[in-house]
Amino acid sequence: MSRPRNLETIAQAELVTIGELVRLSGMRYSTLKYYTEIGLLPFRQLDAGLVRRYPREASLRRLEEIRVCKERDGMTILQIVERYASAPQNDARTGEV
Amino acid sequence: MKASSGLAPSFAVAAAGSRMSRSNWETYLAGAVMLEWLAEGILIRGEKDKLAIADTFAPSSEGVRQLAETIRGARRPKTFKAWIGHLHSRNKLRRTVVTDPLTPLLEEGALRYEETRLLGFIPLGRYLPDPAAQDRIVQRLRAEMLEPGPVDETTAVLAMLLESAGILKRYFSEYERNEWRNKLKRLQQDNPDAWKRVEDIRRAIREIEAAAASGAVSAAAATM
Repeated sequence: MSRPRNLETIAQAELVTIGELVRLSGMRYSTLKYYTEIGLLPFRQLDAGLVRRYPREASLRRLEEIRVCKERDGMTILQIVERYASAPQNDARTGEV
Repeated sequence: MKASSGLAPSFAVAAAGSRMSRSNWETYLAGAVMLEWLAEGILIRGEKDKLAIADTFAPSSEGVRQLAETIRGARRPKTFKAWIGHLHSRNKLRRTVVTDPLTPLLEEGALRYEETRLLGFIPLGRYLPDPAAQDRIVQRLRAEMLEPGPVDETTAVLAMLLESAGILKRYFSEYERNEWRNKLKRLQQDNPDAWKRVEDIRRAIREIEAAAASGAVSAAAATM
């Protein structure tokens, strides 16, 4: 098991783990896992261990967009999923947001 | 889309393996099927809140057909709560009704049926959830109920069913349950009709169990 990175390193990293994204975003682990499962959160699987790595900037931007959709626009998660699904340029699997 | 994403299948997986009795679990599940029917316009509320089946409804499976025919063929129309009581006290009909949401869940592996023998000879069947499938539903509930923002109707009613069935302790800490209840209060205010029907399921089960218990006490007293 690798040593946990400090917050300063995480804040500069291109790719972060879900645990690191929890620290950066302040959101619940279960929420990020759910967003990943339903395709709202972009990730990459680089190594044989299939550990999911999240592009830090794109993921934080996406989380902020989701927050705005929910709190300002009053959208449910399902409506947000539909909104992103109808935008073909968004590819959650490759991390291109 | 996974079979476990609708209201009845989500409830079946989330509540499977809990301390609820199988009959109560099945009654809640049958109630969830009826709540879906109400939302889809298959069940129509008539005079004095009594239910009827839409004329255009063509059942697609045996469980659904039997419930629809029972409601259509009733001598007198009944309320939602009375139908729940009817299903709770009729094992055969209730078990046929719940095959509709259970079959796809068993096929996709979200649930499995396990048969054991109590005291070595009394057959006892129970449904157990696939941990990953159950985890997906709990994640959804957490993401919807513990984060700010609106909740879609299916998740809101699922949350109400789980609250009414008293199985939140399995998944949430005391602190989270308080957060959950605050959000649930708002959902109940926004959709009082759904909450009333969910509570009708609990009340119908309680009334039948209380009647059965008092019947058993009377029978025991008569034989003394």
